[in-house]
Amino acid sequence: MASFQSIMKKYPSLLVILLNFQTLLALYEDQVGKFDWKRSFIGKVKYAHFDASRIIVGTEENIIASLNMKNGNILWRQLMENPKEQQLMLLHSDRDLLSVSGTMNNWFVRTWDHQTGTLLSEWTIFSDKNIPSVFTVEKGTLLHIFPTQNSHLDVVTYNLDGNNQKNTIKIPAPWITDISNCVLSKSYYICISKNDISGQLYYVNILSEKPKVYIKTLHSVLGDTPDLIEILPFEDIFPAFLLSSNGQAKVIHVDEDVVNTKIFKVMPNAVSNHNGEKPFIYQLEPASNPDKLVQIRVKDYATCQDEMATELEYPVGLGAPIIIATATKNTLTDVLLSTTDNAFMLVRLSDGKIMWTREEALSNIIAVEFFELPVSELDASIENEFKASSNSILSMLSHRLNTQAKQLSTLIFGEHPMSSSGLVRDAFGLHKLIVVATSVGKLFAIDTLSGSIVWSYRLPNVKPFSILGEDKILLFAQRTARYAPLPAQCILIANDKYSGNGVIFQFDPITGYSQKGIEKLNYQIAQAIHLPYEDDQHLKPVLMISSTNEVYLYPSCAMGEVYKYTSKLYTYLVDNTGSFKGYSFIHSTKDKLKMTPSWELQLQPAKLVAVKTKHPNERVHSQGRVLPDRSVYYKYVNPNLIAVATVSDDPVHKHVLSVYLIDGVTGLILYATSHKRSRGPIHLVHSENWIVYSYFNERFRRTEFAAAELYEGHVQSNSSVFSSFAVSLLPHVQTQSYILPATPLSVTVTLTERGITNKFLLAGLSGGGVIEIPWLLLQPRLNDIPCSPEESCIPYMPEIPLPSEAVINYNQTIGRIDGIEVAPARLESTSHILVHGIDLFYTKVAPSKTFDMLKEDFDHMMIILVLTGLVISSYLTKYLASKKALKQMWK
Amino acid sequence: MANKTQNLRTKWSLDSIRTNRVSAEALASPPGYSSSSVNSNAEVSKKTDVSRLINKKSWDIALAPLKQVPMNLFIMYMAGNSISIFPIMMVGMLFMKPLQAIWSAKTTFKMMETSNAILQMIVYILGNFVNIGLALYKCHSMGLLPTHASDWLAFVEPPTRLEYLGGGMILN
Repeated sequence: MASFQSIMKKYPSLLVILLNFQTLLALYEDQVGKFDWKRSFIGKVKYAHFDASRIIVGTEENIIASLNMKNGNILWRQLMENPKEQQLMLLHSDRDLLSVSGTMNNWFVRTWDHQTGTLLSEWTIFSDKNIPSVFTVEKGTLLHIFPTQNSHLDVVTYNLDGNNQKNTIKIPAPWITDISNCVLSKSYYICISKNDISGQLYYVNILSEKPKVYIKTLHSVLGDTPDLIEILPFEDIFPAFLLSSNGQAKVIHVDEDVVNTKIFKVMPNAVSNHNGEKPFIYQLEPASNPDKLVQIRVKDYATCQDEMATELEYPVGLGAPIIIATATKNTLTDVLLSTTDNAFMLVRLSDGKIMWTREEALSNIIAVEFFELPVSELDASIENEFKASSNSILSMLSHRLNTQAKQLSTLIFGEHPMSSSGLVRDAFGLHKLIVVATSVGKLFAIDTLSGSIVWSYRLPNVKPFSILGEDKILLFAQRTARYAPLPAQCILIANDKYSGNGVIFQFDPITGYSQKGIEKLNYQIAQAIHLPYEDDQHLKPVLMISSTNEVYLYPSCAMGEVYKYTSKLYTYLVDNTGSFKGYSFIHSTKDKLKMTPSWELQLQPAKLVAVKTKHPNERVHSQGRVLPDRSVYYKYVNPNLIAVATVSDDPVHKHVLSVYLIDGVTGLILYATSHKRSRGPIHLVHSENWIVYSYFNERFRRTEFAAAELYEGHVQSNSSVFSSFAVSLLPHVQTQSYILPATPLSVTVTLTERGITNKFLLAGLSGGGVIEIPWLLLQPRLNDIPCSPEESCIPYMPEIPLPSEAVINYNQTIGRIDGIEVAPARLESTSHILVHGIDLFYTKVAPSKTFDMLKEDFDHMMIILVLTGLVISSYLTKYLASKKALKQMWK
Repeated sequence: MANKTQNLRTKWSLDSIRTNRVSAEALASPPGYSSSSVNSNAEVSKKTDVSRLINKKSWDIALAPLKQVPMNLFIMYMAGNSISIFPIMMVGMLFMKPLQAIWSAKTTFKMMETSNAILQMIVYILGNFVNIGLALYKCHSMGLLPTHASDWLAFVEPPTRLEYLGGGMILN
């Protein structure tokens, strides 16, 4: 034992490895994909090219990918820089794939292999001009054009034959009035000077030896039209563009001096296709058929005749489409469509069949809620029996006979017919429905078992809120599926795209059915509070605060119920500048809720970076920490605590990170600390009686974790109720900080039904892994108390070990992790995890292992055999023994 | 041997009076003769002896548990305070023995056919209680008794909250 201890003292990491082996739930190879699933996305498609049996796409997420034409699956995908900073500017498919992506003055030019997506070459372009520019590839050169308004065009050409030779020319162009009035087509830069018929058309061939500017009046090009004129790009084999007015457009070809206006009119979304034997123009139109909403009209390019119009089997839920690319092979034409709700689909003409659809909206999830499924009809009818719904004995008898007949039939025939959808609750609550809201305002319900989309609902003209630079939509579960005859109910709160007022969308999260549709409000929403009190319909009302501090209730009929609790209800609002305001509702009347200011706090000039409260459904099972002398150190579990992080600039320390713990009811600052020379990104986790935050330490240039834990002391002041007003002593704070040898993108903590299970921190790392870190590793060690394995305490180590077994998504890299959502299962040991980013990854974690469940490989057969064997043998021996006794008697 | 001493005494004795008395006393009683007084005396002494023996025996039984105390203390010391199978078994034995003994105290004392063993029984039971006390002390020193606040921590209900707080960043 002594030698073991000495080994432990010498190699503390060994201990951690041993402990980790006990606590971690690593997967076996045959368990891959058994509890988890991953869905990969690419984002909204911006550019697409057909390439043999593949489709090469470039997206707004700064991603290049290749899709299988047959089923739309990703063949390869390359993630480039963060799309918030860098955008894809050009995707050119030639012998190799060429992409240009970058910021305003700094671009990466990359070539990729079509087959494998391997990066072949990469070089960068820098520019000192801070103006928007465009790229194009023409005749083996990369053209980079900077239009300077009312002045000139700077054109930089790069030879793509390997040496990237640079050549700069300057074309005087005082006629550029607005960049939105200019298009680039092949080597022509084309502008209109005004948006009406009095304007003029200017164009210049950049690649000619001496670029000459041609000037034409729009009147001579377009004829007479009273409407506004817009210039739109048009993909063609000649330099061409569209002039659109009043929803119709004309195709115009330019070739040196000649301007050729096609006589036919097209829709502004028209595209040309020169792949087949004859060139065609495709355009999308609304169809007259009420079942098929969209049709594709095909026009012969040469003769301008309508060739055909195909009505598409267009799914009802999708938004308006645009054509991204077309290709013709033999007699079949493939059309790629992208919709306003970011879906991407392949349509095959001439029958207009949709081959596949990719729901790319899921690459940008901003709100997640987990829902328990309803019980099966049979269980529901059994439950109803115990409710006093039926009064007479006869009806109760018939009800009972009915349910038992059903039970018998299910017993005999096995499969119950009513659960054909499979969406029924299981015994352990492991099967749930995830409702996600995406940034384009589309709702999806995803099955946790299979990862398939159960239903989707597009909310038109809905805009997410923005908090600290992040999009946010509020989703509240007003009623779960537990109250059998009543359906589950969820509400979504967002902004109207045009008016900026709030919108409410109430729906059944299990079926996606909405009774009322989108309800528009006539006020701006500043904040919404999900109340914990249920009304007689088991609905938890949502309290909405308008930007003028008016209070509204949804549903408004719950007023009577809420009024009873107004003396207990408090709220706080934080604005972007870091000013906190606390309110109470004590002056509310029976018909109107009223906010009364109670406290105020200013954190200026520091910049607010994070505000976190605990998960509202969190339960704390253990009220204290047991010390080695078997006494209890009671936790300070304040449910009204707000954790706040700010970063301020400092002349000496560059950046100073401050963290505050504020009681939201009284406004009392319970704890404040600061870290010098530390800056964001800050990830703040707040749970039970502790907070953990990660920050970047500028002094040592590394990411650090700091943990702070609050304790009441060795006696609990009041063990039955907690009130924020009853403050006799400030809580004791224990702190400790650690080095995290990785860059976290999102950090969260596991949540279980009753809070008995240990806590794990889940950190989504920049490398695409999600790692679980036991809270025990981060929990501050108490100073005056020895810490050794005997006290079941892991000695302090500055660096947090990140063993590869702790990566919960093993080798399934998740692109650009945005957030990790956690929900408890009905099984205490388990929580559901949904990691979202470019990809979606779902799994279950059990921080204390599945202590409440038999192991998967538990041998039921064996134990049944052994038990029956024992019973039989005991009866046999009893019989034999009596026989023997009888024989002995006769002797 | 008695005869021999008598012979020796007769041989060496000079005192005639004494010799006579001695010889007269030394004479064996005739067969069938029995002096009633002597008889009655022997009977009485025998009777008191048996009751004394029973008394003694019952006290032996009553004090047995107490006599075991030093032995138990020694075993306890030897077993140590670590929680493993042998000390647990030992503690179990320490508990079981006196409990069983108290249970069967009546049958133990039924063997004594005397009715006045109440005191012994009380002492016996007390002795067993001393042993149980020892076992409890052992449990305590092994940390098996829920005597600390931490042992009841799992049963402490979380306090109900008086205030409910909602809110957050202003949405825009």
